[in-house]
Amino acid sequence: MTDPDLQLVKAMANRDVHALDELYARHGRSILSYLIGLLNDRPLAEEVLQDVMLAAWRGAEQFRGDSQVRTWLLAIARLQALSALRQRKFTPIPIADDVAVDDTGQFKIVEGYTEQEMMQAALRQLPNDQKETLELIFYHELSGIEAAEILGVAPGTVKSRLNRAKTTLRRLLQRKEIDHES
Amino acid sequence: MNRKAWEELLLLYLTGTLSPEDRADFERFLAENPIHRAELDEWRELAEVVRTEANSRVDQLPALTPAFYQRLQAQSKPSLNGSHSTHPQERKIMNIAQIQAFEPHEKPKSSRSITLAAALLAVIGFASALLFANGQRPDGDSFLSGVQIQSGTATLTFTPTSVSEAETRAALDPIYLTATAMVGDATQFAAESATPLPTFTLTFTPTPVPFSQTSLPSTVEAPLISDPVAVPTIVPFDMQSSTATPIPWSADATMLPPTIVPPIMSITPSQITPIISFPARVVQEMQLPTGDASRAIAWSPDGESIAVAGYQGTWMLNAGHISGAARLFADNGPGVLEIAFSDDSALLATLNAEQTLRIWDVQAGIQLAEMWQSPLWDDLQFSADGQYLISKNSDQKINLTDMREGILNAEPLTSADLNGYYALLSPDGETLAAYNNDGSVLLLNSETAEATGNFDWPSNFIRQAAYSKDGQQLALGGDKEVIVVNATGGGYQNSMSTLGMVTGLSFNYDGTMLAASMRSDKIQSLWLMNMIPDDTFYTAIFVYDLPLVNPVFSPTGNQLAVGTEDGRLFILEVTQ
Repeated sequence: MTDPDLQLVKAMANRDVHALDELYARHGRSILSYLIGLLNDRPLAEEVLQDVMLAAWRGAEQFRGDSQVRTWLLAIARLQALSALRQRKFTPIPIADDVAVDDTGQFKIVEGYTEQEMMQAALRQLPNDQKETLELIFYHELSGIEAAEILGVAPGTVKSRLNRAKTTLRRLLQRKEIDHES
Repeated sequence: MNRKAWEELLLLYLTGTLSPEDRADFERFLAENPIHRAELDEWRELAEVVRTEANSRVDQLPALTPAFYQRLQAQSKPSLNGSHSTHPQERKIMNIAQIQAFEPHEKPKSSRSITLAAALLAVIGFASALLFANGQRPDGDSFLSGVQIQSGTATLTFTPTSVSEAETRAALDPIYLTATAMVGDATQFAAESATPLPTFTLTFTPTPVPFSQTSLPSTVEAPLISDPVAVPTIVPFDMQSSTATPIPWSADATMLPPTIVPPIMSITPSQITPIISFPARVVQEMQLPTGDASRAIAWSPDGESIAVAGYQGTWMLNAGHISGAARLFADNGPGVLEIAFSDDSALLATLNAEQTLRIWDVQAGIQLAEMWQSPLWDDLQFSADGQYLISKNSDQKINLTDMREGILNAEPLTSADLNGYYALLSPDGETLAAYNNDGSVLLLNSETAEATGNFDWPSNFIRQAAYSKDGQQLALGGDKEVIVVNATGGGYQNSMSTLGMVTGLSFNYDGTMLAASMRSDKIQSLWLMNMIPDDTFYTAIFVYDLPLVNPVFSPTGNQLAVGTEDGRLFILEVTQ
């Protein structure tokens, strides 16, 4: 199936700014979400998003259509985010406000959540690589191979990360249930 | 359907990549198998939560800013002039022309551009000093001049004008990478890129050497900007105060990884915060006294001590409390390069950069023997019984020196002529695994030097090797990959892609985990490979701004010591 975004990238290669605006409208939101997930810093993510679009503009001429445009944008976003992280001198990514870490390095969930919120809180406690893999597969709807290419890992690793993520989530939620019962 | 096939199909089904026929088959299978259906429901629930969570992050997409369109316009100038081209060579010219044609505009209000400007300023300062020192006047309007195309490589003469112009131009990525290329050699970056990039050469013209930084290249190559790639690291450093001394490896240059003499950083060590990821956490941390830098680490087999090789000698630390008092086994040479404990933890061998080998009594802290040998030694290792000291000389021989005969008078017990090989002794002391830069591994009887086996890892420069404690696994590290093989038969067991050249390998006590440090232009990282059956994975656990010194697992537990080139030592606890 032809990638519906491909024509936009070709137009960008011919310096059509409207094509870039259209591509941004189509994918900006999901790319920004991905960047916020990676950087955990909304203002920085918005800044990096502009870098991503600028890089796409520069690289449009060379885009050969070997991958989906959306996958290409995500790959650019990941590289730009890593670059931005380095600019921050490796400041550790802060953990979300509703998650705490105890002395043993284990996560615990703040009380008073609904089941859905508990699940989301548990999701935020996952190691970054597992969380990112889940998002690429289920939110960005990439195939395992596409996700592996973006992450720079073997396809088998994507699968094992997904399974580990589910196992970890199940463990976290079970523990929470036990806490409630006790 | 077995478990593996189920998981394969499940992933394809969830991501909608099954063909219609396979999808129908899979759904028929689900209809007949409630347990699998329940598992699928669990995945669907998880997928929904992931989508909700990701969606909730962005309520409204912000508009692209005017500054963005300004930058876009700057990028677009060549095509506005009608010179748009898709030919790589022409594109190269176009980009250089683009740099030259650039008209200053208002500096974008971006925190990144400020950072870039700061980096660029250091470069400009240096380049200006070079040019003014030779009586050259900065060239009015032309920021870059002297463009030539020579065999596919463009040569640019860098002529800075003013600080304000540099700041303005630093907002543009082409200039940014130009600056980066001058600060740090980006050749390796270009080579590592997934997409081959055109490169250009920056030439300081003329190139005096006004400071002691004699190793600064006069010509460096850098990727030409036309691809959406991550920019290489900016490493600002202080040219004036650089006192880095090249390590005299030149006699053995073809055998060793590239000599890397780190620049003197303009940031102090305390400002570097490592990223530490699950499943590792820091349990101890220390900084070597008196500003020394670590170059090699060894953990004593009894687990009591950690030795760190530094420029002032070897620091002996209490492994249970590394930030406590440290003993210095002083070395009057230009720093210790290699260290090794004997199996009973009683002796320590150290080798300094002047090729002086010393044997120390660990408890007493006194030197027992000293030997200077030419040709060069490296790769020190004691045999398991402490009888032999294994070393490789630059005359390409692997030597087993009998320690009982006295180090000063000993002759090599076994000398195998293995041109281009490094050697590693198996934990039982019976086998020498010799590996070289074309990926071949020879297994030798350590007493007779007779070959007992061999296997190949084609087209890989083997940088590092390590045995598991039980001697059953052998890990090999190259420039792009780590593999774990059966140590006797060479059969493949596991592998891991790497971010650059492998600089150290270490198995944990039971051989279920392997730590690998790696180095690239972009990132210095420590990775963990978990090799428990059915739970095999690998992940980065430690990332730092400066190169890492070889990681070493504790002899009995899952603690991992890793050093940094700015003299810090971290003990990580790794969980499984």
